[in-house]
Amino acid sequence: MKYLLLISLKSFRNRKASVGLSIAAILVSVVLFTGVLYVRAEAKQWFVQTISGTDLIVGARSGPVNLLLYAVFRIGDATNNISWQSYRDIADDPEVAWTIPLSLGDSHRGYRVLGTNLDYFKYLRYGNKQPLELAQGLVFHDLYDAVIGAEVADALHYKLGQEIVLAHGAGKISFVQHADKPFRVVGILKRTGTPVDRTVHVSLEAIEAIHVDWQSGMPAPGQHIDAEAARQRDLSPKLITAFLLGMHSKIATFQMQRTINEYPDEPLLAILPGVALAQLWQVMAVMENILQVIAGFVVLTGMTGLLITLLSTLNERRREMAVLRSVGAGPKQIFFLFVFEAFWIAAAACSGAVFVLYALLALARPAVQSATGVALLIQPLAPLQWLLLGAVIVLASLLGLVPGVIAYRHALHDGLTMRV
Amino acid sequence: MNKVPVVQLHDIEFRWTRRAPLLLRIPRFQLERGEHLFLLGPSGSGKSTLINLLAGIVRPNCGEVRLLDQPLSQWRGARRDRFRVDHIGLIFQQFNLLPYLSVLENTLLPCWFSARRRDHAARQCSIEQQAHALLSGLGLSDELLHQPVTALSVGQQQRVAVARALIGKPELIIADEPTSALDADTRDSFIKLLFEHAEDSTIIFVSHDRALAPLFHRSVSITELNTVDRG
Repeated sequence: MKYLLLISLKSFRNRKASVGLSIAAILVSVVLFTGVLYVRAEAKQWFVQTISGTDLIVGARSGPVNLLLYAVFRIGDATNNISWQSYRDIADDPEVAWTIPLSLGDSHRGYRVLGTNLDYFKYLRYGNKQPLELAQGLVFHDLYDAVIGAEVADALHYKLGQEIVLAHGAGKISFVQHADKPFRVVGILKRTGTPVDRTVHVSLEAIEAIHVDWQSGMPAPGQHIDAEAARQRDLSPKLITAFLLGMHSKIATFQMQRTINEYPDEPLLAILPGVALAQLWQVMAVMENILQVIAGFVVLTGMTGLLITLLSTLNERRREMAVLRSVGAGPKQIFFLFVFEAFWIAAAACSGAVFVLYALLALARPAVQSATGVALLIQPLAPLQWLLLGAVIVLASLLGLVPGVIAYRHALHDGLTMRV
Repeated sequence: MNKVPVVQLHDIEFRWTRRAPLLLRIPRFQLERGEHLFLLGPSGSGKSTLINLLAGIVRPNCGEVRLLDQPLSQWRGARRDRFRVDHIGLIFQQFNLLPYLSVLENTLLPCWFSARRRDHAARQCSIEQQAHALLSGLGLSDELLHQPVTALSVGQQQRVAVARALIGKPELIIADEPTSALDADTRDSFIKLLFEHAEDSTIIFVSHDRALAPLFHRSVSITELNTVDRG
């Protein structure tokens, strides 16, 4: 057996080109599949990490997933705003422990600007109920103060005291700038691995101030009010986009959700983050499944390539088989030679794939972090990934049975006759 | 023991499948220990079938093949495979060597598959040293030992095949047209080397070239042995 393994290994090494190609085909397919599994796990992790300790998310009436995405993940836009009165009314309910108002709609060089108040820094939790922490500086106090996330600071090389100009709208390139009312960076938050890292935080009053001379989404012609003059205006917020809410007692959460959803003065929607996340998984499940099916087919394609390689060498290896027969190899051993070969190929491809996967992760890490704020974890393979690797090796070895059986028959029939 | 013939065939009949035509019928054939037999076998005479029968690859439909007084043709496949490598050295017409093994590894192949051959080869020294000695005795220089076999000439390859057939002293050497790819000069020296190193082993040398017959103790034509009428 030991020598049979040696012979199989040497024979396999001798056909580097064809064997290399089938290794490459399987390697790519395994990288794709394990990559899909990795991304799926990471994405879920990221979504779950981002929101913690919030009992309800409240916004204008739309879909729960939509509300979750724009309020928490800064993905997409709100369909409507909610009035300050409704917000205050709910926030003042004795059952409510805390609220965080959120006002979205502006941006700075592609990063979302969030108008909020100091409760944001006090009550917002992420990951395992961790609070936000400042890496440098302070939270905003002046009207034109801004607190930026770690990724904004890193990517744009901003330091404390940096002057920034906000743009209207959420696009990466905006033609309408609030250039007349520049802000000053007073604080930089520690990295959280959540959308907070990619957010510029200002006060709700500041959002009012930069739009004080605007009408229906445009600068009102001939009505310019400069930064200092704006301070004198009434800057109390009139509209917000959404708010997060924490209850004194979790038991009252459902009651509060119902109260908000039946709010008489304005159509509102309150969602439980966990339930909305579950709905989001359902939406994502379709994509995940499509990706997995594609990855599965790619693996099958790689396997077919392996089978083709093994079968195509059968004929040219008949001489080799006759020599082995002459020195005592039985048809069974000839059979195992082919199964071993399929095993080597799959094993080589799988170990190569793990290496390539980690190499790609390491390479993609900085880019993914700056684009999404997600810090990819270089972690050991998940059980599901191990299972996949095992399945590939087992499946390949099973495929090796096909040329194995054919070679077995050849060996029985050809014997010592060279059929060249 | 010494008196027992190395090969005994009794009333052999062989056909590939039950309905296929009869290929081979040999009422009686015997080969004594140490004998060098020249087996004249033109193509189509049932030569390959006879070799496969003698080597235990196939079994006769009727009759018995006895090798070294063992009922080879009655055994199961795996036992015949083991017997083959233990007691028979085979040399083919050409392409004897596995291209992915070195000259030395090719020579050692029977020792990998047979403990008996390994033990015999390792009697005085290691099997590698034994292979080494055989190869240099056959005129293959040391620097060739670790070269890929594809770098060797056909004549050199056939000498490696002889070394492989002889290592571990199998009782029977079967050579199937080993010289047909060689020119006349190398052919004669090849046969001389084979005899010289085979010592007291029994040799069956199959060839279509009658000119070689005088070099052997005995010469038989397969067409004489095989009583199937080929019309």
